[in-house]
Amino acid sequence: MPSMKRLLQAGAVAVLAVLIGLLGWQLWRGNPGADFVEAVGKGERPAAPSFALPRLRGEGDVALASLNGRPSVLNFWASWCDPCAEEAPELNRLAGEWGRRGVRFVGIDAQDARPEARAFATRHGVTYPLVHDTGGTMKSYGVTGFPETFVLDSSGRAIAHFKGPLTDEESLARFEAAVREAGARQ
Amino acid sequence: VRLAALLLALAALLAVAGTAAADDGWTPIGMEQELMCPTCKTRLDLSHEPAANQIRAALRRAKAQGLSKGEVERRLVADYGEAVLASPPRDGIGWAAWLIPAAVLAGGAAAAVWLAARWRAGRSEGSAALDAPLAPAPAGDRVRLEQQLDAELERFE
Repeated sequence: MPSMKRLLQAGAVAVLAVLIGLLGWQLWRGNPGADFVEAVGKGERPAAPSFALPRLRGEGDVALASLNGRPSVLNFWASWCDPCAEEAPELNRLAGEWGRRGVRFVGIDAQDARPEARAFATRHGVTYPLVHDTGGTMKSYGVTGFPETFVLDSSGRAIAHFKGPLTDEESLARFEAAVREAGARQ
Repeated sequence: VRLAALLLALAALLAVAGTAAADDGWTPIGMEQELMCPTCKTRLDLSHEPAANQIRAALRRAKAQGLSKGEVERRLVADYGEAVLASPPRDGIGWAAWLIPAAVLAGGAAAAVWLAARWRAGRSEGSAALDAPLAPAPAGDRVRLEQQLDAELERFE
């Protein structure tokens, strides 16, 4: 029968092995969200991470797969975010203008209370579909603040990423070039 | 009329008791220490981010509505995800955060018990050896020892 000392040594080694295993797993897993953002920045057009999120208003989900076949714009936002409020009128205008040219807009509300998010949407007259995320989608897209916007082409590949509100001329020009490149009708 | 008044009073009492039971004594300030700010990843009571202020306001509203702590937690998790809870989730890899410290504590306690038992056993063995009566010296040795003692005493006189 093994002595108590041996058992304690084995226990300590087992705890250490578990901790090293967890560290290794964390390192191996990496940060897919940051990798995705980096790939978009390099112009590699990575496939956008899939999602199926509940609608903020009304029933049912909106899935990324349902957007394929048309260029789309994903805007991450939250009701408590002041730059999101500042961006809302511009985003409504862009959704109206580019929506007529076949571009789908989806607002992804994250890190937010749903009643406040609905009130925000009503206050700013948002008409495009809005969904609610509890963190997973935001993480997989490497979103670290609000607002952030991605432009996807018709096959669901990300071709542009915008940090901060789409309100200044330079961002708007880049955005328009990206949606054209994504396949928006002229 | 008296019966109706009595029933009304009873219903009011039950409603108050029900609210008190649902509330279960939690406080918004106390609960802030058990939640995380979803944007800055610090404890809610240490954060002044807009998202943290939004949760604070939600806690105050939930308290005024008489919601139980469990219900408030469920609502917050539905909006902000599991990351809003300061304690790790009890599923998947989250179990490791609960089990590893528990295993280390149990191992430490077992080691302490074992060491204490060993120390006590060692102590009682030593004490038994001291308490044991001395064996009489053999007769030849006794004569020699008495002579040696006499010689040393003479030297001191």
